[in-house]
Amino acid sequence: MTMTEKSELSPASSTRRTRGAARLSSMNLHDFGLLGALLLLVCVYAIIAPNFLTEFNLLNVLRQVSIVAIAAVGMTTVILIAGIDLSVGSTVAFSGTLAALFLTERTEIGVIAVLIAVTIAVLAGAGVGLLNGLIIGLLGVPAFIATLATLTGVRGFALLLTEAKPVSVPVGDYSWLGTGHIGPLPVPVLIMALVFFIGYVLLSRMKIGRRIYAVGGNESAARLSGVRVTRLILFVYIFAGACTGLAGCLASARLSSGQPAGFIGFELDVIAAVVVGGTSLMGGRGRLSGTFFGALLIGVLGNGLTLMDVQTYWKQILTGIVIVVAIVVDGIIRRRGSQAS
Amino acid sequence: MSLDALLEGDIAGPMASPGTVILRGEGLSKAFGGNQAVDQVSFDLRAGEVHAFVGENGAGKSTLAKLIAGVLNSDEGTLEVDGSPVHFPGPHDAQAAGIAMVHQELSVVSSLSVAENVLFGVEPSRWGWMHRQKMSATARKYLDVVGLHVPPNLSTARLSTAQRQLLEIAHVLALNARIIILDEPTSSLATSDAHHLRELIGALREAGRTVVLVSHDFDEVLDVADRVTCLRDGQWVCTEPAETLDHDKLIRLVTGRDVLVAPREARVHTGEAPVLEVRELTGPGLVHADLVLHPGEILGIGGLVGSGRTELMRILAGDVRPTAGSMMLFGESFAPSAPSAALKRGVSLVPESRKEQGLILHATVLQNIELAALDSLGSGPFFRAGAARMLAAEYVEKLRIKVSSVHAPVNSLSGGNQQKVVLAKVLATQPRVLLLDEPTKGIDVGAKAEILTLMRGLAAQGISVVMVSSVLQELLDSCDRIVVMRGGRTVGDLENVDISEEDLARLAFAG
Amino acid sequence: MKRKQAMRITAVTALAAACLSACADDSGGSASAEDVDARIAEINKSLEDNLYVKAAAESGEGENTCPKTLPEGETAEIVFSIEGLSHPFLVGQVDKAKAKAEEQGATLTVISGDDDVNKQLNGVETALGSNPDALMMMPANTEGLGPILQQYEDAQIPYFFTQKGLLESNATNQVLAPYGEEGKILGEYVVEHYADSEEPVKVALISGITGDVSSVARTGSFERELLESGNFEIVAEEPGEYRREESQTAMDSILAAHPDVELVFGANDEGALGALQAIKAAGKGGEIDVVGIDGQSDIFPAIESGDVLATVKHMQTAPYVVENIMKCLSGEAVPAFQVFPGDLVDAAAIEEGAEPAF
Repeated sequence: MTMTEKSELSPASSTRRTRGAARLSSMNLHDFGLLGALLLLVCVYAIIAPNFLTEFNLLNVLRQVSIVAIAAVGMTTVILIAGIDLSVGSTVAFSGTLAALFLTERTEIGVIAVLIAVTIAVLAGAGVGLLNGLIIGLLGVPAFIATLATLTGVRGFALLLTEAKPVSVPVGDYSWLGTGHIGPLPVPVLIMALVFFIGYVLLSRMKIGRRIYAVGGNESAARLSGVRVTRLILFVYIFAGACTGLAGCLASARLSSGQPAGFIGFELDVIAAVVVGGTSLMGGRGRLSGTFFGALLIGVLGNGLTLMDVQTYWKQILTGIVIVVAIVVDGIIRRRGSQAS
Repeated sequence: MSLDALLEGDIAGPMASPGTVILRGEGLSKAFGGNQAVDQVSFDLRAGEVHAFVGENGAGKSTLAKLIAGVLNSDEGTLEVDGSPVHFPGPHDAQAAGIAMVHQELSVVSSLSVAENVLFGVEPSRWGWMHRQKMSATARKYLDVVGLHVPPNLSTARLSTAQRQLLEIAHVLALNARIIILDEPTSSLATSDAHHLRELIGALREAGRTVVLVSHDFDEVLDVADRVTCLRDGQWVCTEPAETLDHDKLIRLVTGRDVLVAPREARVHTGEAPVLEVRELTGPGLVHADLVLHPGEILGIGGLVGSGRTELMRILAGDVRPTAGSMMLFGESFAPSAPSAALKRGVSLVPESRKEQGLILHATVLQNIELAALDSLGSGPFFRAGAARMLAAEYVEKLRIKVSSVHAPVNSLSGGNQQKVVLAKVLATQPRVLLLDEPTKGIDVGAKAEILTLMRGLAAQGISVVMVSSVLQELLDSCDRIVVMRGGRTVGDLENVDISEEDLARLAFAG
Repeated sequence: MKRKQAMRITAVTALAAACLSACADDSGGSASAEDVDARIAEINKSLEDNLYVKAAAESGEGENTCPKTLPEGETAEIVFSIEGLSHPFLVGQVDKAKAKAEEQGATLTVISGDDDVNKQLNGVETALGSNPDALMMMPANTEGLGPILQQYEDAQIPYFFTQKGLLESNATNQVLAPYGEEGKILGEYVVEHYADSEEPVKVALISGITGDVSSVARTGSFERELLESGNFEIVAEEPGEYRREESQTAMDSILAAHPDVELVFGANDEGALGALQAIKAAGKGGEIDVVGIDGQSDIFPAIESGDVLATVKHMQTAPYVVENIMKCLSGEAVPAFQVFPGDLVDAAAIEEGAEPAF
């Protein structure tokens, strides 16, 4: 009896051990699984896909993934509070188009103009986010419905502004954002790294990050624990919108044009990256690192299949299978990890 | 009783003469995540005995039962039946060896009829088809035995929880097992049904069956059991013949402590400047409430469920806004717009439902404890994980929360420990007024006592406590003053001196 | 789907405007000669910068060569980036290109953009890594291709456009869809068909996607042909989004506003078939003539039964481009633009054995 009490009261030594074990089992396992899958895929492609393992191609994949991944940072925070943002595709089109509209008439595009354009896109995205947040947080409309509405509305607005025509931007500093390099690294990849860093600080190093996880885990418990839930919802959707706006800006820079009718269904790519990354659609559980690997996994999968000249229909089918497998494997890992009750 | 006749049929497995050991467990261990639920437990079961497993929540008694029934597989240790080692990969294998279990979480199939549930897996058939008439007749025999008088063809979905419990017992009888495990069988039964069940257990023993009874209810255990095995923290404490035990001994064995909670001397606080003053408060579910709370006072709120007690607490905690009336906190107006505002003023609530409003169940102990005190953990918007860990470790120790690490998920904890986590979270905000809504609901004796003791300690430190409880004795034992509510009104405000449960009950019911 | 919805809003607004102006026209009698001239000038202006009209005008002119020729005995590796594979026309485009490549001894790698500009660009970028001998593109839209095409130029990989293209570009060769020509051919046929009519024939136009270059080219060229003959009056124009359902809705409202309409033009066969459904639903089957463009298989039975007057076959151009790529890689010069108008199909042509375009 006395032995038991001792081990309860001074758990210092055992705490450290089990803490490590608990972390490994519940948190990192998914990342390891994803990383393993990614490495496996890379190895397989290195052998069977021509030109896969070249610097050119690998940087290419990273750059192509970066736009989805940047939007996925915002989407991760949204899904963590058990929300969803279906308006991402429309917001990417809308914010990119606004930036392009600002630049299209200019003959010369300098750094200042580019910065303004980026700001416009980010603010446009944040604006859509604010609208989402208000509809969800203040009016109490479920996120699925609210963002379905903005998906339609924002798209309509983008088309209205442009009469559905693409808005071209003179090639120059702006397209550098989407296609340029600093050293060997493509600019979008660097921006993606920056956004992930911001996301990491937000979720892991700031109080609001703790509150985001709490609201997703149990909203009423979080509220009773002093979390101002409505404010938090607003913040999260604005942050997600800003990420999406930035993604839209990079997309328009890459395409040297605003595409008001483009990026239909883009939100599904983003959601897929987040979910494959192990973030639970029920909220409260997930990590940004998972989101990164999720986006990369889907991107690499598609890239290799393209290099191997696999028919597009099969690519779509395989991507679907990967999503299901990822979710199922994640479920198994989770059940193993916390086989309690 | 038709039981004897019913039980005369072939039972699964050989029949042993009464008193012989028919099942033996050696060094059984089972862990969930980092939590050692059952730790090196050895025991035996004899033919024709009623063997009770007792212990606090989380002591490992249900887990041990599930290891026997093949519902769970042990990490270590061996099981022997009739002297030869066995391994049950699943419940079906255990059933084949004559071992069946009635679960605490009921497992009847609600889309099937009563008869189909009773005879699930042993349906009488004729030429490979289910034999409906025979099925009804057979099922009715088992239903009569357990005292469940419903038509066999009734849909199970229409049964109450208690009826389902009886149905499940009938099912286990139909499996004709020689070892029958009952996990908290009377927890959802009314007194008369519970009494009937005790008789049934006696009859089973007479028929040479072995019954394993997992129970919280010491009276029941002392009444029907032949031997009692006591577990604490997953470890075996003792196995004793029931006739050598009494209520107090059981409590001591189960908790490892002698005292639970002795009644506390009520103190009179009137005359001191009140901490909280509520006047003519009206709100959703609340018609009219007056309340005064003094420094260091424990104020009890009694009343029936729906009398407005929870509604009052929610208004005080800022979760719901009142429609009229005034609240003063330390002499200043108090009208919190949200729980966050109440917390800032030093008022925090341990809500009634810890799973729905108190905890993030899948999150860790750390994540739960740090949540309400986030503002103090790090400077500005930044969060200091180190400070949070220290805070959590401090409260884990202070409140003696039994957990392998602060990183363990809360849902791996027992009810009492979960409640302590909620309390830790609330205390970490350093409240001046602590609101407790049914703080001892659904937790075991030991944890109950600990929480009540803790509450008294806080009051002694000068924290004012408002405590809602449906257990009147609990209020009488701990509170300085008791306010009784009925129909959304405060209908009585009594100093806890020379009052009885009857006095409170008379006020709580319209009387 | 969302785009469709947004379009619908635009369509409704346009519809309201069209109704208002149409009603005003009715009260003022038929359009004056000046109005017609003004309208023709307007059309001319809208077609002035139209890629397809211009390309048709310059078809066969200019000579481009490839930066490198293929060494003797090596197989040409061609990458074909197509906007998507979600329509039989696009699938036909790929099948025909593959057949031609096989015939010419080249390998053809197909990369689908899955109907998304961004994805198509991803594919073209990825393909650059495998250093092909030539790129053939059918772009989802042509904005934003500048930087990636520049990369191909830098790598000395020639690029070609099929069906859709770019006016200002260094593409070696573009075999473009004959949108303008199709409208014109159909217009000429209709003018001749109604040559004996004494009163001006009342015509309704169901265009494709609002503002889309192909729709402007087809509808504008057709309308200009009719107006110049002086024997027609355009009573209404509605966008039908190139889709059957939207076109049917458009025709419903046209019929409501102008029950006396005699001829309907669909900017594609889907549009024509949608209009036909509306006409039949209004109980006017056989009273109103319908014409379309594309020559898709669905329209053939309608032409045979006399419900539809005629269509113009819209042919896949990828095989021509494959041929040009091979020529160019062997050192021959190829023209900058080429346009090959398709055949007009009416009941007589079908009797003589005309086949659908896709």
